[in-house]
Amino acid sequence: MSNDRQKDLRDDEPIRDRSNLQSFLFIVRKAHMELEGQDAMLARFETVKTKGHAREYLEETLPKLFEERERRHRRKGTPST
Amino acid sequence: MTNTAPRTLDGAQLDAIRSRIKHVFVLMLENRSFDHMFAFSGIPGINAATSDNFNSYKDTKYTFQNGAPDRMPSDPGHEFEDVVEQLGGIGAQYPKGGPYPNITNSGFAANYATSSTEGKPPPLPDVDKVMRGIDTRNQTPALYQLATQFVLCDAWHSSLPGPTWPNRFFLHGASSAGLDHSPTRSELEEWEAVSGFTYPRGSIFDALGGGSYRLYHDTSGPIAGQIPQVASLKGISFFDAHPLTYFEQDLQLSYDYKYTFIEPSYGNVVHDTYEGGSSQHPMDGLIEGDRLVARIYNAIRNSPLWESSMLIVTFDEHGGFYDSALPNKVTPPNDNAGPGLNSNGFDFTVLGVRVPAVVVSPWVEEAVDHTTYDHSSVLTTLERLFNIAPLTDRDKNANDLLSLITANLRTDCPENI
Repeated sequence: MSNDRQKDLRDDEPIRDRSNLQSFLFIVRKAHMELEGQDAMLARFETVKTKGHAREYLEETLPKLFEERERRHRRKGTPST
Repeated sequence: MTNTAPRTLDGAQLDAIRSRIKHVFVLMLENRSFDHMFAFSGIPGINAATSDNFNSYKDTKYTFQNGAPDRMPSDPGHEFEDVVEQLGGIGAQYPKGGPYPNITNSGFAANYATSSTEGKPPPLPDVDKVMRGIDTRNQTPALYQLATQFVLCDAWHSSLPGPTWPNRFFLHGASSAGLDHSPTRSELEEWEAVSGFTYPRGSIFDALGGGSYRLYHDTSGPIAGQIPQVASLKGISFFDAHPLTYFEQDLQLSYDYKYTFIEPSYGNVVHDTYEGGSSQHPMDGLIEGDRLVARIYNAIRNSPLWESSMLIVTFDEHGGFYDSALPNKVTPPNDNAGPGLNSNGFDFTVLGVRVPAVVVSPWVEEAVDHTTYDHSSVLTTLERLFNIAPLTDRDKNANDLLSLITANLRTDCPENI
């Protein structure tokens, strides 16, 4: 994890079409949109052009998604509470 | 003991099996072929590559041999066009709409040496690594133990000769809606506009209905790898997937779910190294994925569900690694998927490369099963077990796993591995 937060030379590379990264980003986009709405998601994602941007987006967005998931599961009272 | 063909079950047999198996668990790992994982396992009775199997490239003969590293120096190609060459031989191509080239499994070494679909090809001295098998007992001890204590399937194939995404879609819907490649940005945008990847006839989750299934994903490793791929489907929210940290305790509570699908963590997907994950991706290694296999088994084995459970551990596709089994012809989904996602024009009448699969239950004997399966067999099993109609012609015609269920409840299964 700590290495992940350091600047990596590969961070400047563009996000390749047909890459796993791009497809995973769209899964996060879908959840981000569900959480904050399409406009907020698109505004934030507009700046995601490189792998470094993608990393920042994922590190910023995923914790919010995990937090929301916990909140929903607590509310539902499902086994994972 | 080996099973060579599936049996036909009558109504009474099916009812008996339904009384025994009430919970099906599936763990799908990443990108390893059967021969790569099991040819050097020493498990008797398996159909596997030997040193008689080889590929040639640039006047070099690459014999299949042991000594595969945990991590590959570069990611072997496994896009549709890569697999065409791997199966059809050097330079083989697929004409839109077929037929698939004559399959000889002779182009794995050449494709690894030259393909750049997953990044730079390896230096020539490393090309032989795609033609090597691991030491199963020592490099994946948990999977080895399950394979030797329960059922090892040696004719389980990925659902199409292509990459991760369409193969994972087949597991969830017996179709990839025509997708025969890794999705493009424009395709992803189209799916986003309709709330996710959409099957013409729905997914197994639609068929089971909410409350009948449960999704988990491993949340170890880099945060960027903790994304459940199943959440790409229409009807499945990211928020539906549960972190695996709760798995053990959930199984101890009132757990009524018929089907549980578990995903590994995918590691560093940002830089394509996949490091730190638990998927057994070729760039990441085997250890964490093997620990995940043990964790899942131990949790089920030590839960109240054990005596009514079936666990299937398999791999989405072969990841570019050599395999000696020639993929068979197979029934296509015939689900009226449009041509929009079918960029290679693939007709889905050929299975993908063979992958490992292990079926675990106290109701199965130690065995090697030679029956042909693909990922749709999971759906066929669920459908016959829980009385659900087939989603497509693929799962309608696939072999299920129910013939493996015996009338004897074993008491000799390891409590922990």
